[in-house]
Amino acid sequence: MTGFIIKRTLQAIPILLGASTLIFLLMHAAPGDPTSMYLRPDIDPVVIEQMRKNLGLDQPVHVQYVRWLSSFATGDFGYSFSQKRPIVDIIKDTLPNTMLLSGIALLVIFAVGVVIGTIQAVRQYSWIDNVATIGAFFFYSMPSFWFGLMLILLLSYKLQWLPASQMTSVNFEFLPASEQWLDRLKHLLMPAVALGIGGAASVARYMRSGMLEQVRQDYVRTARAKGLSERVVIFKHAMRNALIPIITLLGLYLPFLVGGAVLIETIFAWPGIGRLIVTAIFQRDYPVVLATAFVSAIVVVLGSFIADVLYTVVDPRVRVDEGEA
Amino acid sequence: MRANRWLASVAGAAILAACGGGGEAGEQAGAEGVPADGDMLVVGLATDLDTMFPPTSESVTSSDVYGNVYWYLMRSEPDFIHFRPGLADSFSFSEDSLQVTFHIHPGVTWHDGEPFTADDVVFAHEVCKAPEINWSAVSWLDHITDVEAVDSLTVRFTYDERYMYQVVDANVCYPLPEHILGDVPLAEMANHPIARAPVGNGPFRFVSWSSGQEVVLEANPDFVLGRPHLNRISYRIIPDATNLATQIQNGDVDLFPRVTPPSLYPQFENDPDLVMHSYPGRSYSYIAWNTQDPIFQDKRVRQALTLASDRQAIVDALLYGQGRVGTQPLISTIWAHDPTIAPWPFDPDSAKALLEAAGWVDTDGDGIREKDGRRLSFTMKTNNDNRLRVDIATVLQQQYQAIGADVQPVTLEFNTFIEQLLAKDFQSAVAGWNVGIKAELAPTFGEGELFNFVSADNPELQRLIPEAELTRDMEAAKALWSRAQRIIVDEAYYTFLFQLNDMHAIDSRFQNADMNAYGWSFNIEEWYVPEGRQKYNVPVGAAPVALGGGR
Repeated sequence: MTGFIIKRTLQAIPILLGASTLIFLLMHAAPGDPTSMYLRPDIDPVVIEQMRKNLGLDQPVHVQYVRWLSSFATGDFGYSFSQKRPIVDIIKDTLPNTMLLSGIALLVIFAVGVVIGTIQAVRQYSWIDNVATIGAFFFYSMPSFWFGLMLILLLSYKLQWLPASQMTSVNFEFLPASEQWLDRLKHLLMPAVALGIGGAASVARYMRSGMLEQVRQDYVRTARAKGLSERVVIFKHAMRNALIPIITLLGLYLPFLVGGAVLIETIFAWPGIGRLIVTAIFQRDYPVVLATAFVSAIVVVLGSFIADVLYTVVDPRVRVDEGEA
Repeated sequence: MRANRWLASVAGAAILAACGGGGEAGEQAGAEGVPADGDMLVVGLATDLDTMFPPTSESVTSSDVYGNVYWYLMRSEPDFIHFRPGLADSFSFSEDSLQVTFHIHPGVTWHDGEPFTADDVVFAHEVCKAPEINWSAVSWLDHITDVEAVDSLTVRFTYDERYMYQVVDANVCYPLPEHILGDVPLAEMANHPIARAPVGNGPFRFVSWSSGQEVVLEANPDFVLGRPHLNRISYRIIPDATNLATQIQNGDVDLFPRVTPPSLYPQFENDPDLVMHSYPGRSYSYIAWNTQDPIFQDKRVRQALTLASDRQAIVDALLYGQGRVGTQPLISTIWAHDPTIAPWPFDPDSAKALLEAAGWVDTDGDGIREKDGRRLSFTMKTNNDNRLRVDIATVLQQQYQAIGADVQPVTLEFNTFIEQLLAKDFQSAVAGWNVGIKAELAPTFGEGELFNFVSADNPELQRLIPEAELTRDMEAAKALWSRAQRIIVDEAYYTFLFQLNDMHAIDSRFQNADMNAYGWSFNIEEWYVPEGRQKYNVPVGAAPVALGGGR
């Protein structure tokens, strides 16, 4: 296992370097730079020149690249042009928020998806299967931002059950501790559902077909023939095998949840990293774009790593290093 | 708000018709109930602040917030010519008018309890002028040669010449707390904790700022002009306009500043719980014609297309009536505005006649005019993130079709659009300017200037602009500005589309709000909620949360 981790870490280095370099070049190829937004008749061009100098933008691109890379290598992400503070601080502020939202959304995706998919497979062609199938296609084909807005209109505006934005209420600090917890949960619910529902629908489809495939297998028939209860057959034998492709999905969903939260974070005013990336791109805040892209790349690498580890948990045949039967 | 309002652009003392002249404004005339302390104002902001350190802040959103924490010596009236007491009680000119002396109110303190003195003003001017800080409005200090603390409560500004904006310029740079920043190297000042947890001297003091989410201020009980009525202000960052609109209508948010898109106006106006404030804003939209382009070299073509633009229809349809048809570059908020300049009429027949006189005739019967083998067909560029401008280009396409001109709207990403404009790589463009408080035409119409992308080169105009700038007599200056503007209008470098109203929606329980061209929070320290209507019970000083130190 240790060798596996070391190998994967070494493999990650060229991926991360390549991705960051590519983004660096793309950002600099795009028209305008961070000072573009100050191009106004009332601002003296001298001020803008000084600004470019202070930010190091007056240097040729390759010099900027080497500078950025060397400070990056030492763990210094630099300063944000637009927020005027260290990027490490910004990421510390935003990443946990996104992780929280994405974590709950992931839970929605897999818990709901796996449960519904399994029920559908076990009760194939029943009314519940048909309803779930229609529902799955409905939610899968719906854009998450639209669904988010509909949730806001219904649950916040019409029914006034849930807050429409932010992570906490305006009077949060004056609430007793027990209600603070509830307040956070209320704010989390709508964005997490809006972010996760499409994924849940798709996981349900995978799970359904995976399960259907498994229950037709010989080993399932054997298990039943042995006299095992239906519960054990489904959950211990069939489901475990049906979960293998789902694990691959998990690895794919992790990075999506960092980038895919962009729209949801904007609509629900969730102060996360997705919103940060988009704002930074529009403001040509190069260092922030690079740092956040780097963090996203790490999450992608981590995601596929976690998926690989999880394979070994679900499927004993995949175990590489530790040769237990 | 104050700083950025002032530097928001092209300078001047704007005589503003904020009260009365404003037109279709929902001015809140009488206030209901008795002024009472308490309650909280929840403001919905579309973007987060950049920093709360005034000299390095570049966003109006930020100045809207820190403008209540930091305060000026003298406060500008909405006309930007007259002043009322702020941290200083009064000011006086020297005999030769080259010096202005401010008399600070005794007993003013910073929010951490330290006394506010003349040294803080002197210190702030050193900071504002420093190249390490690179303050974008630094040119406003060009005429100030010296700032000196006569004693702890008296500060004197010395100028190298007499001009209209001496008091304005002395007030552009916010006083800063020297006892906190005095030992901080200039290059590190922008990253000092105070940039995210300001220690000011204004009516409200800083409580907390959670990035991307919320900024909280609370009443400063020791404020020089008396405690503000509101206990707290919470600025909630809500980027999505639909969400913000939902929240102000269900009462979660109390104030939606600068309501956009305009399609929300009718919805809000019909909401009995909301009061709308509307007044002519400090910006205008226009079509720029590139006079170096073969089609637009001839001013008759520019005039014809102006005549063919139904601007009132655009105001009615796209702005829901919340604006006025544009007439001139010095808009109604600036003192040099000339109300006698009439807008070009909407007159397609005259437009056709002008085009024919200029040699543009439809010879092949395809509905589009030609001249010397060239069709009257051109592109109109604008930035794609501005829905209103894209819509304008589409509407104009139809209007120009009627007089035999073919327009292809081209929408570009904002940075690309600006880059192409400045490179004069366009035929026509829909754009806009934010306008400051000083009368100024040189940056946009002066020969060889960066922003003169229409290549305005009328010789009389080029002579009039510097002359007007140097004229100190207000009436004489007004006449010169008027002549310059009439040339710009006649040359039709721009087709002036409209001056958009600033619209703010606020919950009806807030009384005494006077929103004007100075900004929506002009007198926020005087707003109140009558006792029976107060919604939030939030005490002052109850839960101080200091972020990154500073308090």
